[in-house]
Amino acid sequence: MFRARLKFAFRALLKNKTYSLLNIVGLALGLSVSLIIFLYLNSEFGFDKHVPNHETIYRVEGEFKINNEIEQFAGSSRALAPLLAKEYDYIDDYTRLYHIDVNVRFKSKNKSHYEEDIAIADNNFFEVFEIPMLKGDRKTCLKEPQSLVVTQHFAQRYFGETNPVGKQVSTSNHTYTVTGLIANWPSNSHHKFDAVLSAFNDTLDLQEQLNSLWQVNVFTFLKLPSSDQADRLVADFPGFYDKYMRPMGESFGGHFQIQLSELSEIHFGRSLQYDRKGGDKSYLYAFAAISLIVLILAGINFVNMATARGMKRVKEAGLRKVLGANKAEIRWLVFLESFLLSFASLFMAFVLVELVLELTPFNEVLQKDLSLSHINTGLLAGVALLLTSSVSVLSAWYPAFSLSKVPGLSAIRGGYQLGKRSVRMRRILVGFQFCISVAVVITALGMYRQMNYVSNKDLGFNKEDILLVSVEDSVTASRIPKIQEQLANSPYVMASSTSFSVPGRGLGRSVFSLESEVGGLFEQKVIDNMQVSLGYCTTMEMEVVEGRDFKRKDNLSEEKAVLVNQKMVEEQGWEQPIGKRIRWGFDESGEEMFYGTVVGVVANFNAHSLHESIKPTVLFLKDNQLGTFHIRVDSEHLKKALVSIEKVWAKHNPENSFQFSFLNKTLANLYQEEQRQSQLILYLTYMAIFISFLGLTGLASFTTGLRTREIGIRKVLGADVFQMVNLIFKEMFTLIVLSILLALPLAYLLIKAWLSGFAFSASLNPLIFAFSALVAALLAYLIISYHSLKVARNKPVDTLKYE
Amino acid sequence: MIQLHHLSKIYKSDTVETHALKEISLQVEEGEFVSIMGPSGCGKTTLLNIIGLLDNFNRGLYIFDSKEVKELAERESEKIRKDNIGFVFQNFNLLDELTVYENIELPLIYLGVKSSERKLRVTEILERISLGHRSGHFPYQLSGGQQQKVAIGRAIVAKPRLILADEPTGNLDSEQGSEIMEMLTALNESGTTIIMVTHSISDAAYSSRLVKLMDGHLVSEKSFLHV
Ligand SMILES: Nc1ncnc2c1ncn2[C@@H]1O[C@H](COP(=O)(O)OP(=O)(O)O)[C@@H](O)[C@H]1O
Ligand SMILES: [Mg+2]
Repeated sequence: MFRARLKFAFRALLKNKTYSLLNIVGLALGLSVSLIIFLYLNSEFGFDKHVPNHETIYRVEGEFKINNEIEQFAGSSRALAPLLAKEYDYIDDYTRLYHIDVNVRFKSKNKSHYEEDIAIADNNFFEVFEIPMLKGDRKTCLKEPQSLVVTQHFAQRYFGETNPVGKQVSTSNHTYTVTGLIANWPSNSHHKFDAVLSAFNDTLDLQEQLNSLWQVNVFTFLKLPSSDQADRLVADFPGFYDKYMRPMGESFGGHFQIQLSELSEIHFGRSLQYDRKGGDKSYLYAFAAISLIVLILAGINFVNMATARGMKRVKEAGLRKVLGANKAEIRWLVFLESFLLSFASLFMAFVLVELVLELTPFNEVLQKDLSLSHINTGLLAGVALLLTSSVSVLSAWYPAFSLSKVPGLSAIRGGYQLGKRSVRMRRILVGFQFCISVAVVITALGMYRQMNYVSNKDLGFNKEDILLVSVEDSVTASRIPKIQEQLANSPYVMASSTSFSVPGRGLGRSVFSLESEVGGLFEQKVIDNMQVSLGYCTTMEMEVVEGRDFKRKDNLSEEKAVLVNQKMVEEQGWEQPIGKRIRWGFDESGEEMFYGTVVGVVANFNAHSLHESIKPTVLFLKDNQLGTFHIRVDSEHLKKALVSIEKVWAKHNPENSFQFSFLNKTLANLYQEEQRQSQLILYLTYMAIFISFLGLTGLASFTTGLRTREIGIRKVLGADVFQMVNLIFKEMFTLIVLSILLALPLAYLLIKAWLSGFAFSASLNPLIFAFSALVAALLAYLIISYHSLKVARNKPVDTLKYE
Repeated sequence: MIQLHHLSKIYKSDTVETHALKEISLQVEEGEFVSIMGPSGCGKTTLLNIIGLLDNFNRGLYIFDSKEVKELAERESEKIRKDNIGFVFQNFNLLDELTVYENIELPLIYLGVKSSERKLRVTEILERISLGHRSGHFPYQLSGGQQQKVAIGRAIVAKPRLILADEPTGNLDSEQGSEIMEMLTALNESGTTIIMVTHSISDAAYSSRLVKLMDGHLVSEKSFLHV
């Protein structure tokens, strides 16, 4: 009996090949989107959960309070962990990690690459992070100085498939021995690297350690037996503060407290300064919702197809009844068909997902490593089965029950109509589909516009063609002037300057006393500040709008020269900014140590990401300083510029390898998350367009199908083709206009919500809305015309026969 | 008005070719009332559809009002149809969602007649088919005879020169049937050319000429003499 049923179901499907196929593909797309987003969410929600015993690893985060302003940092002082461990014996272990976020050139034999993801860690790192070691011993691999543990990725680049352990790689001034091989960090790791160096020999004496407790320079991880101990440590910490940090804190009115975050909660935790790129859970929920919507859109086509086929099969159902089938039998048949179709879709969906993940740059674009094989098979099968069976049951429900109610005889005689209700429901569903698709398209356009805006906005400086080289020791710093002198001879280097901070990487924030407009009175405020050397404004192509830029003579003057930005002038209400006085820095007695005078005003510039508004900022002059050396190169000759800079560098600073990063890339990284989201939305847009195209096509051919005879009669009576196309379009016109009208506010709300994360955003261009609405209506008209034309063009005899 | 010379029609499907019409030659003059008879499947409907420019043919010549039909573009044949020909079908082919009034009005709309004029003409037709009191009804609320009257009304509202009727009484009882035949005869007397397919000898007796088809061939023609 079952075999007979299966045979009937198969035949019914084959009879309607193209339409069946289109809908299988449509549903398969919907299912693939859901599967991919499921993989994505599974990966995101599993952040760092792959690290064994992740629930016992806690990151120490710092909370500095200065003049009642709280600044939270993801990192902490490298002196903190050893002292903490000495003080509290319930801390099982600690390890520290430092990410070198610049390009370092590594060489091995004839292979050489710039590495941008290198870290330095304590020698017990792999005993705290017990991730699988493929080669080498986790206890000893980082014990020796100049040891290097590499990922497969890194090993592949230098050594191909051979065992890297024991091999050597070198930078321009050190040679490292590879002592271990680990798997690549999964993309859902908050702290990851391509290779890690052994380091941190704590040579500081106690006083130096105490002084450095107020700094933020490494990430500290503690191993604690349980979350109770974590709470206990946070509660105990004020004792530590009193003992080691209070005297210094009191000297400048500061306070410090730690917070602990469990490893797997870091990524979606609080947003902290100096953190790795974090995630936002609300976006994950949004993605889940979107995938559900895409599935519903695809499901709607499926439901509609089932209903349309049901309507065509009234006669068949009646006949079966007369021949002895009961209601249950007919329902069975419809459900079975629906299951067959949706499982065909599911199969195709798996193939599609595999193709997308393995053959397209999808993973690269999203910086993920999604794969069907990474995931628990039972869970995947469960989700897939659940999705598929709900779609097939839902879609078969209406036709199954209404067909089983068809009265036998009257159906055969003809004239029995399967409810007008199903036609109306169908229209509403397709309208919903269309509405969502239009909204998604507009939203994607809006997001695209914003990402474009973000990468093209005038930031108040020119972010292109700037190389950043970090200057971490005073010896290098002292050599910079000489290097600058040499670089001035290169035709490919336009300008250079050193600044302590880099736009987008966070500025210094400290307390300043600012003169008021009236004069004489000083007011204390926490202000963003940058220490820059001569030529900074020129190098960055920042504009001095009032007064003047720094001069060489400013280095010598008693009162320091400072520049402020326009925002500062505005906020202070300075009518006459030039000559206003500023004091900062506190000595032991709380007196200001430095006095400055405003010599110029620079045009506002975005020193932070565009998520944040522009804040009052002070620039002061400091030559020969640590920080980041900025070099503006000729964009036409980047390669040559790099060669000549590296040559100069090697000659004048041979102990330190030349390491650099690009300013524009640094800034682009600030919007990685949004970039990713807009990419995902773009993919979904294609999907939504395709699916609603299917839906409209289905509805149009269904509607014209129902009216074929009518079209024939009208034609015989003299209607021309255009009149008939309009006839069908009129029927769907209200539907289309209504769904577009609903889509507009929906899209508006979506874009607004997304843009609220930016302090600077592209204006919402109403043209995008008008244009999308128009294109959508036009496309709908074309689809409908196509289908009605097909019927209207037929010879009238053919259509008249149709019944 | 109508000249067919050696006209043939072949239906091709995947497996079989059906020669529906074979070498048909026929002339119909303005003002004639021609009946076509023959067994089921002999090609009567096919012939009528070709004459009405609803279908094309494979070989031969068809001249309508001295225009060669085969040469006409789609638009031109549509225009000839709209201006000259009215159709009456065995199964009425009324539009279910339009009222009697609207069904009759439809050809005038497609001809672009002004609405005031349309009203006049539809009312006149409704009177002629004596269904004035039913003008707001929908087709399914009418008897078969009444539906066919509406169909005839719709066929003549645009004052066509030629009416093609395919078994107009096929679905009606004899009383309703003769009413319809009376109407057609009256139309013919006022100058309209009529070509009608029928199975009924008594219906054929209303016409001025009888054409017999057999298996796609035209087998005989004879004229009735009216007294
Ligand atoms: N669309 C078609 N396709 C194939 N064969 C057809 C088609 N229409 C009619 N025929 C065939 O052509 C022949 C004549 O049909 P028709 O003109 O409808 O006959 P009648 O009206 O005299 O009963 C029949 O054999 C019929 O099967
Ligand atoms: Mg026939």
